[in-house]
Amino acid sequence: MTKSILSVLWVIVKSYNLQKYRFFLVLMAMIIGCAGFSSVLVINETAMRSYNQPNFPLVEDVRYAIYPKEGASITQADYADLRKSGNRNIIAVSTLEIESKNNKLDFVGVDYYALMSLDLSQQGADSTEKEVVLFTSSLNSSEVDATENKFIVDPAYAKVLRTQKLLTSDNFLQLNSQFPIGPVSIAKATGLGQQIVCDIETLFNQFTTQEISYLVVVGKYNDKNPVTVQLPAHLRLVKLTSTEDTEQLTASFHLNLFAMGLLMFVVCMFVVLNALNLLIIKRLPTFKILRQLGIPIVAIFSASIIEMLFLAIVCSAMGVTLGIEAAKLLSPAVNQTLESLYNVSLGFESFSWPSLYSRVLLASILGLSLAAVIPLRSIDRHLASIKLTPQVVSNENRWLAVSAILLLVSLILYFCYTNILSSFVIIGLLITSGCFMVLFILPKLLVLTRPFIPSNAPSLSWSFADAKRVSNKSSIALCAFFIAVTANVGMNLMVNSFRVATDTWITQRLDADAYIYTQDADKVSTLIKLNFPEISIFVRQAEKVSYQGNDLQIRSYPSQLKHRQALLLEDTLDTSWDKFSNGYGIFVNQQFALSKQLKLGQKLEISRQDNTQLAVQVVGIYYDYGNPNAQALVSEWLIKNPLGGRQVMALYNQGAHPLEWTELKKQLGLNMPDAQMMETQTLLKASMQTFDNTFVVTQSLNIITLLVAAFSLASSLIVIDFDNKPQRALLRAMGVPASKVLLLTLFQYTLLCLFICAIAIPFGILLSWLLINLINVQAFYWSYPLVIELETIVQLVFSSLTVVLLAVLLPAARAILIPPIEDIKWLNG
Amino acid sequence: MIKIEALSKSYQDGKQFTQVLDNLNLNIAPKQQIAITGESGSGKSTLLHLLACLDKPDSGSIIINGQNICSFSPRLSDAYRQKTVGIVFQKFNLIECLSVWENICFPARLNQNLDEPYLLNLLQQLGIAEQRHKMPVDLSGGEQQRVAIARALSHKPELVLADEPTGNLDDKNSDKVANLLFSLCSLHNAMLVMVTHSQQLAKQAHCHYHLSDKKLTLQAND
Repeated sequence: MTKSILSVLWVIVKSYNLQKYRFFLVLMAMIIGCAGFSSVLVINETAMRSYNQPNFPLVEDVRYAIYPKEGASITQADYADLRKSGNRNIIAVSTLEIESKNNKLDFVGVDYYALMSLDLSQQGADSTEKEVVLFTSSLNSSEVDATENKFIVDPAYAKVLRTQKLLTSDNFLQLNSQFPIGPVSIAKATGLGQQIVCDIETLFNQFTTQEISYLVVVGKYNDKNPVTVQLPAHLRLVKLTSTEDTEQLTASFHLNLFAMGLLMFVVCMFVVLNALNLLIIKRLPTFKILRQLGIPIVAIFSASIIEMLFLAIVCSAMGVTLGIEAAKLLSPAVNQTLESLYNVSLGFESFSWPSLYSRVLLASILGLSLAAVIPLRSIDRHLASIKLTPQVVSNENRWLAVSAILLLVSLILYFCYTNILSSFVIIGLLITSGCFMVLFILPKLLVLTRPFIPSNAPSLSWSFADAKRVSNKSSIALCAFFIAVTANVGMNLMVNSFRVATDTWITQRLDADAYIYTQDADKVSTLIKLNFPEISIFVRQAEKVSYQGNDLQIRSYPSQLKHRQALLLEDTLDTSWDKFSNGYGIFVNQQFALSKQLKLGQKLEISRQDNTQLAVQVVGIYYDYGNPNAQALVSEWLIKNPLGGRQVMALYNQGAHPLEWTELKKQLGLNMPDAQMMETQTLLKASMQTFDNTFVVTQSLNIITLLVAAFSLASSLIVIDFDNKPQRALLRAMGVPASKVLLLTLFQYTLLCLFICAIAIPFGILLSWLLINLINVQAFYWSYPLVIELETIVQLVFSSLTVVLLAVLLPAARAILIPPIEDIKWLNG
Repeated sequence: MIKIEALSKSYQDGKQFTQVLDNLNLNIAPKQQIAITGESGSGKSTLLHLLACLDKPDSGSIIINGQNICSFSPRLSDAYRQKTVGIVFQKFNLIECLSVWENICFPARLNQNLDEPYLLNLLQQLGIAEQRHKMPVDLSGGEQQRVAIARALSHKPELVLADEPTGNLDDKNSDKVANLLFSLCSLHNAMLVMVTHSQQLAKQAHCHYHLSDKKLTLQAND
């Protein structure tokens, strides 16, 4: 047996020589498939880590910072005064960007001694306490001694610095012609990204700067225990736009990343399957001859598996390396997005290579197993002939049957099981059903459209007929392309719908002219009532209650007509507002309604913190996108124990002059520095900006998936085009010019891509509907109306077509350069 | 010694049922060389494929060296084709990624009985020694056919099955190659079953059978 396996392997290796071009394309397809999957995994991992990452090096829970107002600066005296007045949890930070050897280095100077002497009792935050203890103990350890090693760098970033020749082997920073700086401690510390952290004093001594950039307030913010900072007039306290502000979108974002990862896994598997299939199919006649010569099928199968395992191992390694490089290339854009969202700077090097490689290898092995099993089965059929078994016509009907069965199973699942896992299974079944539908419907479409070709265009008619043959040969690649287009249409429509829904909802919901966020609503109210009588105020109170043992927040909501119009309702009772005003009815958010399966008209018993009960009826369900928590709206007078802390005040213009608004802003800045006033338009813009930034990453992942699938299809078409030489030679022998042959070839591919897109669009719309009404409901208890934008779909189809045509243009154009005699010789041979 | 008894074979193509061989009987003595002629589609190649264990009959048996090859397991069929039989296919079936020399050596290497001087001599006799480093695609049809013959004889099999071995050769070369095939089989005491359209070639065999109406009829050689 070993002898037979070795003989087959020998023949396989020899065959590479004869099919160099095909082999190269197959390898490229596999490497690009693996690279695409790796880069998606790397970006995914980085993006997912980003919102779990502390936004300040060395300590967690820095949610507030003190910045100088415009034109002012923070002096060392300001810092000293603040600390002397008891604010021991305020730490000075100085940041400095230095350019060295064409690389930008970010230095962060932190007051180490202030950090080490943090008064933990003031913070009331367990995680912070733990982190600070960890940090101080590490500073005092031999590994990171603050007195000797005043610079700290993350190990992953140290690697980068070494490759840039900025960090010497003895851990000194070598910047331009300066003396080496250091030594640098290479250690893992919380929040340490691509920065060089050092003591602030060291930074001041080492460089010319003496400026404190900002002060951070360490400690978990708590509504009941607010940060007590008495700031001088030229400084302002700013709530950092970190987790709290963005967490509403991150859950959806996380799900998107997860879905993209899964999708890319499938596409990578298909790409590998397609590539190997192309390789094996060409060899089947040789394998049949080997069988005729007495080589056992097991030997052929074993040799093929050995070869493919080898290819998978090599291509996965090369793909992972390429994928990491691609992710690094994309990293400035992705990093910028993540920085703007989470205030973090992440390295694309700090992930586990073995874990990444194993995942990519798994996808490749799954692909190669299918690739080996499917075509090799046919070797043993009709051994007497080396011709491959012809396609049985009834196969197409079989594809329809399989597609219908899968669709039926997904429908049964849809009606019988409703959990997140079954929802993903339903989507998987739907996409697989779509693949079989492509196999069934594509040849039919080509046959159906052929009669419309005028009889005086025989070459065009040939092109149609040949497209059917090409579609049979490239069915796996077409499926991969179908999956990518379907997923792209689905994801894009979902994100677009979410955007439109969020935009409509925010615009309608933010009905006031401006909003003030403040700790002291009474003081702000007094200020406005006294000085700005033409501005009316509404303070939305909140109360923490519970329903069936689960936390619930009830918020006050006004019932005047314009506020009624501002509430975007999914469903409502006829007399809802009357009941609401009388205190008998409440509006519940969609999340609360779906999680507790609440129906309109249902009576609820809500438990208050003082053990009293509030009996109300559900009179309406309102949209509340992005809010992960259960919430209900009640009349203002029903709030008994309002929550303290930061409150939102809505301001309505009742005839005030624009200058009065400017004056109000000025007075707030002077008298109440913690109060933040935001005009509705600014708020709207900021909200939608956050939304768009969040989904920039998923958009880029979408593009990678589409590119990889399109490349897979293109490589498949190129290989098939190569095999198509005798057909083309026949056309050229009959006098069809080379340029026309090229046009016909491109027309064929355009036709195939268009038909695939035509099948993928309805599936994509269905996928989008499922994502909105199944996955979103299961994961977040909210849904929104599906918005089908024709422009998005047309853009997608156009970009898919462009990618495929660009990829096949060059090889197809080579046909023009080959003298006709070459093709004729081929035909005679 | 080959003993074919009550051999029947039919094909089904969709709804169409075609009986190719019906209750066929034939005995081939050791070292005997037989030729089978018949019209296209009469089942000559099918009989050859059954003898090569590439296909299974509907009923009947083929006894070679006391063993019914029709009841062979796939593993035994492989071993039988590898060791006992040498096949010259109508379409040559050369391994296109291997050179002429590598193609010829392949069965001998599998059987670990590579005899290079013998093979070189064989190539010279077939007139393709000069071509041995070429790839099959670079050869003419006639040359490819001669390579196929050389490959079939390379491991000195007991039985040589030839499907139209001179179909692509001109008259002069056809005679030359046919004579060589007969003489080489005699030299190695191999049985030869040859399927051909050429009456002239068939007459050179020890026995000439004609396959018609699913039956074999012995033809008298002049």
